[in-house]
Amino acid sequence: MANLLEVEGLTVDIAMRGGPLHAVRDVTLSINRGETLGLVGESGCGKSMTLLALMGLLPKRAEAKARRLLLGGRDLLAVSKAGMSEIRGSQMTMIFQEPMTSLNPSYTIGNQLIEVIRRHKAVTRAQAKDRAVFLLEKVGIAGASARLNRYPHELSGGLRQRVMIAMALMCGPELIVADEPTTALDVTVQAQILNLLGDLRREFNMALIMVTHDLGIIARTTDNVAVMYAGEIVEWGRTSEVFAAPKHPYTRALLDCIPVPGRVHAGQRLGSIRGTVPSLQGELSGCAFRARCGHARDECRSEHLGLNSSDSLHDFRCILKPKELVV
Amino acid sequence: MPEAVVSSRLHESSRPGAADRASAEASGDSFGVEFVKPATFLERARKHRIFVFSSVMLALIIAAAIFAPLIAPHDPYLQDLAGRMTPPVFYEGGSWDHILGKDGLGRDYLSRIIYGTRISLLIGCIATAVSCLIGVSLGVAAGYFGGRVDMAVSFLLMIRLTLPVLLVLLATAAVVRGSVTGVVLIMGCLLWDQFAVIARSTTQQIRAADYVRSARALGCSQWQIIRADIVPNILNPIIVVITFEIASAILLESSLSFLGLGVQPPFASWGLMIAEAKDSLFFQPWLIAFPGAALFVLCLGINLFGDGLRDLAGGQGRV
Repeated sequence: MANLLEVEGLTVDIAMRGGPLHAVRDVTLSINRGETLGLVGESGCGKSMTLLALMGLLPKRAEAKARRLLLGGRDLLAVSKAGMSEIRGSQMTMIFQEPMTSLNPSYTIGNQLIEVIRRHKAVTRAQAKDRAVFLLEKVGIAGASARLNRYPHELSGGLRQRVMIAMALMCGPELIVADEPTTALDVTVQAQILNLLGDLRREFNMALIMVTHDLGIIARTTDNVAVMYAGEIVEWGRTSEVFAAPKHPYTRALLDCIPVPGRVHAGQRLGSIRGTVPSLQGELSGCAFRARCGHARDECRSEHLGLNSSDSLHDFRCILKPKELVV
Repeated sequence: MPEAVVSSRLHESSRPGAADRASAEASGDSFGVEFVKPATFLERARKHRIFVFSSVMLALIIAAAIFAPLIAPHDPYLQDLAGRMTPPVFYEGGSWDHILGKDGLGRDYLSRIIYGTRISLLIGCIATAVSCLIGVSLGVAAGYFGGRVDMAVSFLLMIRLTLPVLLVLLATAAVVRGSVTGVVLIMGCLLWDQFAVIARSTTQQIRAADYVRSARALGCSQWQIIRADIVPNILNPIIVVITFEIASAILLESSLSFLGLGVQPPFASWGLMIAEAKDSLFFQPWLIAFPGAALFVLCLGINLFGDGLRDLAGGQGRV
């Protein structure tokens, strides 16, 4: 099966005083062309680190290891640093959370769009400009050719995020990685941007990995979802199945935290998960979630489970039978 | 009810830029959520009085330097021993022909001061260009790469700061004696400390900026990031430092010439003119006052200009 991206056993360790911090533990992912994968979890559960490791953009102190890391059949583990910066931008690219500050304030957006493609491909300035106008129109910016001469500070947040998306698309990447692309935008713009990303993904047959802590976004926009906790994937499957029948108590608890209009009454406390994510330093013994889990048993203390397959499409890391989880 | 509408309209139109926004919407811009275009640099500069004043002052001085042969009333090197120490026009015995009088060798003082502007500006600018190049390269490298590079640069900077500039210049100027180029280059190699400090700290800030991160995600090499993302965005503070450094380089050149190790006679340098005039300080004080005043006016102009630039660059927008 030829997936576009195959990650097996990805681990990210950050050197710290008092031992390494395991930000990502043994993560296995795969995504195909035209699919969207959601990564979801609380802050500090390793979502962003996973993305940065894929892109080869980890901070100096962090070290990534993987058993297998294939992009379009090419082994990224064997690629040199220079080779990685060749692949970044042309084959895979990343969209960040903060559109307000993600564009260089010293150049017009046209200049920045054109530079991106000329960095990777031998095209003339005129061709690059045509492509920039084409993509700005694609991302829904009217009067694109006039906008090319604008500076980032002349654009609103929503427009800037559209420019960032256009910039990511300049070289026709196969994989786009988006780290909370809409967190900094207000809700109406957020919906526009998400629809846009979905449309573009279909149109250009790209794979999209979306990191967010907003389960609503995941439910609406992704095909598959990986729920992460303490650096490891605790549940993985088709989004519809995971949301309909979560099999890990953490996923269940996350879903219970979403206030549903009509179900929550005035004065009623909103759902939350008590406690915090455990320290990521040191090895895990037993289930990482047991301290916060309502179903914890003695076995949870001793046994660290692998991803347990009920069927091949929906994996989870828990000793409970799915039936036992239903409250 | 109609009143409320009217007043809100008034309020709307009295807000600066409301009209711009309306026209942006009317011209078919997509969302109408575009921000009001901030005033351009020139628009803001026009309102800054000190900046305007100092710009005019500097423009006049630079024009005088460039067009010295056209402006100077006499040949600055033409000696007239019979008319030596002719006082300026406002003293008894002065004439309009030699407005600022003549020096100890009978050369027209006004012409010498005008020609002195050339030397001062030229040396100030070249020395600053050299030190800017050295300082910004070191500072950007230290700020961008950090770690060992930063340690090495900081060490160099510390050594540089412990050196008394004038003493080192005196020692080295004696070695390249007579060569103005040599003196300028040595000055350039000594005055880079401010550039390195400012470039280092601003680079550290910009290095962490989101657009540098996204540039890396788009596959830029380190060199491309330094060229396209770091350097253009640290230019504002660097330009301000440039102005201050030019002023201090001009003063330093004057000190050196005064001590006899900078510009050599018969060239007209203000420092040299002050040195030549110091013997007659009590009898012809104007001989020392004019080049001193020229030096003061030029350095004041440059510093005010730099201050103005700093104010203007401090606001949002770009320079």
